[in-house]
Amino acid sequence: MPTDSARGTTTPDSDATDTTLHLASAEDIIRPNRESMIAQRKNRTARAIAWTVLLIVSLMMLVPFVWMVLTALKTEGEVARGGSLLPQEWRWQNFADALKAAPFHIYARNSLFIAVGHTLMTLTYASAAGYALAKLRFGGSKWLFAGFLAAMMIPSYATIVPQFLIVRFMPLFGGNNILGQGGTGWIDTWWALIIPGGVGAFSVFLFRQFFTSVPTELLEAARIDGVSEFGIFTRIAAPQVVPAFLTAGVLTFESSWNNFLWPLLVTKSQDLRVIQVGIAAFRQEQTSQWTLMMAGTTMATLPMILIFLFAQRYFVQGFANVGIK
Amino acid sequence: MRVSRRALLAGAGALAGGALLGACSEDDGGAKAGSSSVAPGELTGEISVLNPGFATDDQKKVWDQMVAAFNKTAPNVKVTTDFTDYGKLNEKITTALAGNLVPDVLMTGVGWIPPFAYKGVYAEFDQALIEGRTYADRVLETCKFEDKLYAIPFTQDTRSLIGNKSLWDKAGITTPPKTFADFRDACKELTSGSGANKQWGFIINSSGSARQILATFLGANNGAMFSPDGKTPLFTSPECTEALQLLVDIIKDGSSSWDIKPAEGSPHPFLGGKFGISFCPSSAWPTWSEANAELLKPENSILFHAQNKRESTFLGGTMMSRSKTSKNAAAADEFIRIMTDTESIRMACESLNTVPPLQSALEASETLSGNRLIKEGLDGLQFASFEGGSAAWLEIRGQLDPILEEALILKTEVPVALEKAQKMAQDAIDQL
Amino acid sequence: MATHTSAALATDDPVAGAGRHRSKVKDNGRLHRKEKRAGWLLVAPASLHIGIWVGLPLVVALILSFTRYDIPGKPSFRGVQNYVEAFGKEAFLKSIVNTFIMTGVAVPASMLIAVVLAVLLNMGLRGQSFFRVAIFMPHITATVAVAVVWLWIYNPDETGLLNKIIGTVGAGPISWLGGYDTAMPSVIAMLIWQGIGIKMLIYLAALQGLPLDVDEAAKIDGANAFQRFWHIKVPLLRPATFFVLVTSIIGSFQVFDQIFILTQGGPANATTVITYQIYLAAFEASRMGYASAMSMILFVFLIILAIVSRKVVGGTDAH
Repeated sequence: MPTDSARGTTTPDSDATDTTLHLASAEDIIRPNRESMIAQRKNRTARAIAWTVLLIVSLMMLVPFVWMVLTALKTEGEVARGGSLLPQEWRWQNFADALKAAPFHIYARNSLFIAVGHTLMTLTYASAAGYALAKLRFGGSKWLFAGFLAAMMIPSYATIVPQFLIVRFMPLFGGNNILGQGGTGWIDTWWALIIPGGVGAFSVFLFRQFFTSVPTELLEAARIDGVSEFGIFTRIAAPQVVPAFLTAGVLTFESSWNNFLWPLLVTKSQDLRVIQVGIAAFRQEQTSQWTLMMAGTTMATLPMILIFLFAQRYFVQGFANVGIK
Repeated sequence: MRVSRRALLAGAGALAGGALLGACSEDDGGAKAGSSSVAPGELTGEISVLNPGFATDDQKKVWDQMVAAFNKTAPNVKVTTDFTDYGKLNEKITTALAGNLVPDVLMTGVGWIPPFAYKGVYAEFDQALIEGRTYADRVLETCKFEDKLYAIPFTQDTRSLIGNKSLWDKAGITTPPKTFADFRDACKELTSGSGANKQWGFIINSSGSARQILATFLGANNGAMFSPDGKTPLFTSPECTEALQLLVDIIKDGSSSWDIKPAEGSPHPFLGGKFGISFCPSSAWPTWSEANAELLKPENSILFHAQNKRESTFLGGTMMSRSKTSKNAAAADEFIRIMTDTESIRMACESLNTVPPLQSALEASETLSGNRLIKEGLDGLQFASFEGGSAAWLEIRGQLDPILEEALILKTEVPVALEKAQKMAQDAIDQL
Repeated sequence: MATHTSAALATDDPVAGAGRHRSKVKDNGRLHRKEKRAGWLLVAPASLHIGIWVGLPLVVALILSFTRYDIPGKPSFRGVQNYVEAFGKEAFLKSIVNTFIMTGVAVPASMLIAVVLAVLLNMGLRGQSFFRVAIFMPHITATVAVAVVWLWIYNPDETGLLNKIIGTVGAGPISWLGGYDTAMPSVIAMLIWQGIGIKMLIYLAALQGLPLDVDEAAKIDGANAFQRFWHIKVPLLRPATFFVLVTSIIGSFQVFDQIFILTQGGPANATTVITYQIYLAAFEASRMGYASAMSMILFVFLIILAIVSRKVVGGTDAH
């Protein structure tokens, strides 16, 4: 990556010339000139426009959620009558009622276990694979990469029955003999909930793309210094792509948290059901309870919002490079 | 993955082999249901039930009560229930069948019985199981395949037609139309205005899918979708053509439009008072009363049936069946017998807001008798029309709706569309 | 960190560098072997996992696509009959067209919006956390609830939100999801709205790794925001763009729940997509062989599109 010694800030390749760079920018502050003032004003207008655009877009994104929350605060009668945007009286009670309508504390606990399990598995295995595919030279890596891409391309409805069969005929579990016959395998167990979706090809691909931007010279140098390959991965390469970890973590957590069909198919007992299954109960063939469903969904989304808020705080340009010093 | 490719192929073989082995080791459920000579109190073992309803905690409590009643007579039988989302019942059953993990008791809907009976999934019931009960003939028909009984009615959903009395009075209509021609005229008379002030005669797409709406009018014309043996589709029959043509004519007259339909969770358009006639599902009482209780009063709305050669109301519902591979047939049958009996379905229908298939259950329940729609639904069971009737139905139904819709959005002429439907259905049946 | 100084030494000091080079040559073989072994070890867990849980089902689906496998039952060989049948069905062909149209419109549109938003959200504006969460919300909320809300937005009578809006200028209520010509655009609009969030997140993450100095230099040289965006940021975002493009196309081809709830593929197949046809075959008709064949066709489409994407965006080669 190019380094411009006149106007540099920290970059992955930044070297010992850093100290000299800061002086140059300090001069600017001490002696503002007409050009920089115009630039600052242009900058302020640009930022104002950007802010307005973001505000409008955000509001458009949020309209359905506002509706969702407002619905959660209405009575079923108000929803049945329709028409009014705002609830007559704000029925916070609905949130409590939704929680009581099903054992959500169990469902939430289950969803948490599964989501955390999947996230940990992904952050370790997918990052390792992504790094290897991006930065290590070994025979067949191109084919493996193609294989991971292909794994994303098969529609889930095509693989769900074979996956179910693998789970059901898992040898030596749930009463199955070595050929997988006789019992129920992993059906209705934690194994079925956590293992199959544990690592996604999506995450491997994501890590691989991020790792390609890590400068190879850095790794070569470490190699020469005698750092082990594993050490290079964990102590040098990985810290360069913290945003990738955050992104993969958030996305994996979200997809596990909201997963619905698979947990429904591989479990029979209520103790192993997840949040979305609980919320789906509010929408039935004959009658549905929309207020409770919206209340439930709002509550189910809150943890995700918190996680995302936390993760995105680290998305500040330059953070990835701080580790260098 | 180069190295593991061989392993993969071997694995796939093992997987398919495992599935086949599993399928091979199934034994036939044995004797026909109901012919067990074991006293209920002496039944033992476990039975598993797949339940697409009773999803919320309150409803589960009712279900538990119903199961407890069963356990009173058969205390040594353990009942485990798998509650599934009704929208995912297809996936649940398919994976269970593929993995040979079929529950003992299944609850499925109208139209499912012939395919599952044909495929050997369901066990045949001895008529003795429903001795002493009076079901409407048509309701029992949905549970039969080739004249044998494969399911017992549990809860029903019906759809009648409902008319807005004040609009009828304005148009000078006093009695419900008794022929297709009268119906079409009535719709015309009930239509007036334009744009945002338009008053429509009939909202056709008011409940269920195109094939179910057609089934209602087809039944009114004394027609059916399939021949009695289920091997020939009758979409090009005159009865069917007339029925679909009626709907298309009403749309062409401007009295209705296919693209007007209720949005899930929003108030039904009929309740806005701008439609002369609409379909009305029996389960609509709670929501519709909230939205417009006035309109639902007998003096303000008329419940009637589609009619031409006979009266017709649409029938849907849930039936209970036993799987052929069940290892505890006797217990499963006794379970089904009790769960479909008066007391049990009374509790179920009160909780789910559905129509009981037995008059005795309605009489035993104030809530149900007091519900105008449910009472009317039960009375109308004798006129029930339903979709299905062929072993290939589950494959046909998904493809039928788009073809019918082509005619209803006036993209294709009725005879052409029905030809397409006929060919599609015949292909599916030939494939069996 | 030790590596930092080594890097500096390697590039700055020619004498020491030369000496290092000589020792590099001597250790090359051993380092190479270590690298190869590490490569295999690191890639093994993920490969094994996906090989079993996706690779195996994929092979099973491929095999089944040449069989007749009606559940319950046993698979029986059928040759290419399933493929012939699929391509002969009007509904399936329509679903292919619909899927391509949906993807062709929704993916580029949401990508473009997402990359612009990501750049704006990287400027350190006040309240940007709020904006980021707001834009990401559609992605993290369960699809069922979101789809139901959009049913209300698209409600055909005057009470639907969209109809209320156009009602203020006097336009009549439109049946967005019920009309043959309006159904597809309505679904596409919802998909764009829903897809922006995740793309924005990935672009945002990618922007973190971009060097600030090139951008600063360009600013000094007088390049305006747009020029900096187009000539500097966009090219540097190529790995991210390739990733977003491929995964978005794959995701778009796999859309199902929204169609299932919003339109059930209607009216008259106006919005049916390949996954919906697969669902009907696999879970309503229980014809797994036939469904597998359609899945394979979808799979091949995606492979072709991935290859095309690579040519369009340019490869992001490793090392």
